[in-house]
Amino acid sequence: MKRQIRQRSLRKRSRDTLPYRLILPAAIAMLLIHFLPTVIGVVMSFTDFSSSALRDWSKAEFVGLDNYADILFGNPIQTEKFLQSALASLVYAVCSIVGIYLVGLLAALLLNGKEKWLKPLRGIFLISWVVPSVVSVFIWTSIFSYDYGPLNYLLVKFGITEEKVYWLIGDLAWLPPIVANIWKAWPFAFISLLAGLQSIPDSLYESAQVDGAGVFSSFRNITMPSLYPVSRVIIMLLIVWTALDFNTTYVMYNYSPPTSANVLPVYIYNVSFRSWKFGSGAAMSTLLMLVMAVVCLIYLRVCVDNEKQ
Amino acid sequence: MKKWLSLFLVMALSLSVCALAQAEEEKIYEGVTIQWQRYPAGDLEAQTAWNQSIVDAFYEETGCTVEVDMVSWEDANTKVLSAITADEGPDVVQIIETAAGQIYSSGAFVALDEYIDKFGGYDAYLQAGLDYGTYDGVLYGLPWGGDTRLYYTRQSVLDAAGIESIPDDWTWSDFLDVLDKIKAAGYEAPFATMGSISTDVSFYYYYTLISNGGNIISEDNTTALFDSEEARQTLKQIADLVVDGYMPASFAELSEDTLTAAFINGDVQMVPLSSGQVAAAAAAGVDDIVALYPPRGEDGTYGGIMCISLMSVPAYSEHQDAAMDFLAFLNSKEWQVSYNAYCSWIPGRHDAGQDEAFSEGWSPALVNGMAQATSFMPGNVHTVAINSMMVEELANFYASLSDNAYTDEEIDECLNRMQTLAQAELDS
Repeated sequence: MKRQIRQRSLRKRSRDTLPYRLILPAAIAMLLIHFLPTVIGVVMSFTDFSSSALRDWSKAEFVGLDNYADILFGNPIQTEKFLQSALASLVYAVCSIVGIYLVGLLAALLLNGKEKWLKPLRGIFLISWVVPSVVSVFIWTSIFSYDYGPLNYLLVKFGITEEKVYWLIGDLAWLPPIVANIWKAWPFAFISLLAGLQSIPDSLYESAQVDGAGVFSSFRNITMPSLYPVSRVIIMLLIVWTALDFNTTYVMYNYSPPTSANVLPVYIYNVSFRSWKFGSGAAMSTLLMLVMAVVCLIYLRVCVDNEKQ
Repeated sequence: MKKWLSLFLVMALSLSVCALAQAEEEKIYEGVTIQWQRYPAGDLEAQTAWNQSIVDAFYEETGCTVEVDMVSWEDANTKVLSAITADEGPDVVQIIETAAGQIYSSGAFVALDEYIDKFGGYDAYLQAGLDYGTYDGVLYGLPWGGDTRLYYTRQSVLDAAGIESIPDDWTWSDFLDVLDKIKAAGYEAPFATMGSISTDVSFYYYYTLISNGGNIISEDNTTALFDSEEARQTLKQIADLVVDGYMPASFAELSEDTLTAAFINGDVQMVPLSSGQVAAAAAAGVDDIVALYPPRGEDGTYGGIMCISLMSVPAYSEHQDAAMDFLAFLNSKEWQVSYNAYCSWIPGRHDAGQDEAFSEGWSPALVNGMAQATSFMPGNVHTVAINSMMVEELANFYASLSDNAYTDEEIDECLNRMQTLAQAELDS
């Protein structure tokens, strides 16, 4: 009897701990790949880690918050470059997220139907998502080229502008990476929103129609609220992806982008891996991580509050 | 009995002779394998073939197997960084000259001074190349191969412009006269240089500054000199090329590849290029390329720049002796001359560059220009940071020329920013 009770107890404990045991390998991997490097990076941000410490990390002198102070207010021009880079990142992220979501939503609305001819179109719309990002950025760089780009050719030919426009240098240099990013990523929003649209019951629209609701009213009161859960996830992912996007700007402009396009990931890369100022680079990375964490927390809080309402 | 004893003695003697012969056949590095990391310059297929020929010859001579790891120029520094941090990696490493100071400051490389006789002696090498390979008075990198930035145009353009020849010691005023003639011949864009995302953005400014008698930092590497009159004059000279219609404002978009393409397509008539880019233009069918020395300052000061890669042996290498011997092999006059057939580089060994077997087929301007060229902030841990800063600030200034105009305030602002950033970097 006692043995049976003990065996039952063991089996119960085994069942209770089963989920944790199943996720343990992934958790260990996450710890090694994400958590441990993050901790090392944060520790590095409090040191004067440069080329002399590469072979012996103990040679990196502890400098406390000096790296953070230099970035934020210690060195005027360094602070200016950091803040300019942060602004470039903000513009890039906001414009990309809005563009990706709106284009994806429009495409989802257009292709939301049960007709057979829509299916191949849905596949075609995914093409930009599967093209390697390096390839697509190279293509967009040549499209925006002043002398040889087809965009300038078309703008002048159709009289939209009198002269060719400088897209890749000067004040408009922030725009090409955004366009390239939107082109690349809108299918992600499209396919997610399409799935959301197709889960909305037709009966809701039929009832609204009976009540005299128009297209716009149905869209505002049925479609958008129904898409809220999937939209929340899409925007959250886009915030993380675009804020940390390195590839688009680096492939388009290499290690020296124009100021308006010099997003933080590229700036941090240059400070760390070209100038070998790992302490400064780690401090900037930590600041970026903290800002992203705050933004995501605020965003989630707003979403939860909206859901409760 | 005697018969068996004699037979035994003969057999023993034969075996001894065979053993001796066997010992002689064993080479000094039999069974040793080393890794050599390098980046390509020019035709990859040809250089891969050259790599194979030299590693085969080294194996033949020493029994040492050399595994070649070709990495891209952009990745080379990052790979070196990883190797230093991990304390393991290739046994012979090619180092980019602008990164040499900060790489050697890590203390991860073997000093080469005590081996210099094996490598041919200091006098065999171009001094500017040795400067790049020296950090804190110690030689860590042997100059291997590089080039100098010349100006290139086409004979057909010169003929159309009625220019019979351009003297080796032409000055900036002569240069502008030549551009006037090219423009008068109907060419819209007589000249262009890189204005974007390229080390040559800073290099072009630098060697033009040198010809004007200036420099970017003081000789003792402690003071930035972007606030000098020579610096101001140089930036205005370059900006005036746009304002006066010699260079299109869109040059600010030009990178290495697009400038070369513009030259190949005939969109631009005269360009400063590396020898690798010129080789690409020649391979693309431009068969009347004329090489010109960079224009001198009005007082005749020559302002060429040398770009040269270095070969070094990391301290973590477990086969330093084999690595040093391979380094000597690589830098032997014979192999440096042979590289000519496979690459578009000038040897780091001065005697190899001057050798007839090498110089035939090469422009004298390239070989002699290399010997006269200066180095860009050699042996300085801040070279990469200051170079990157210069590229960014100059590219931003060049972008502001898109309206074909500039003000003195804009010139001063650009130079003041570079001065402040460079001085902060030197003080750090």
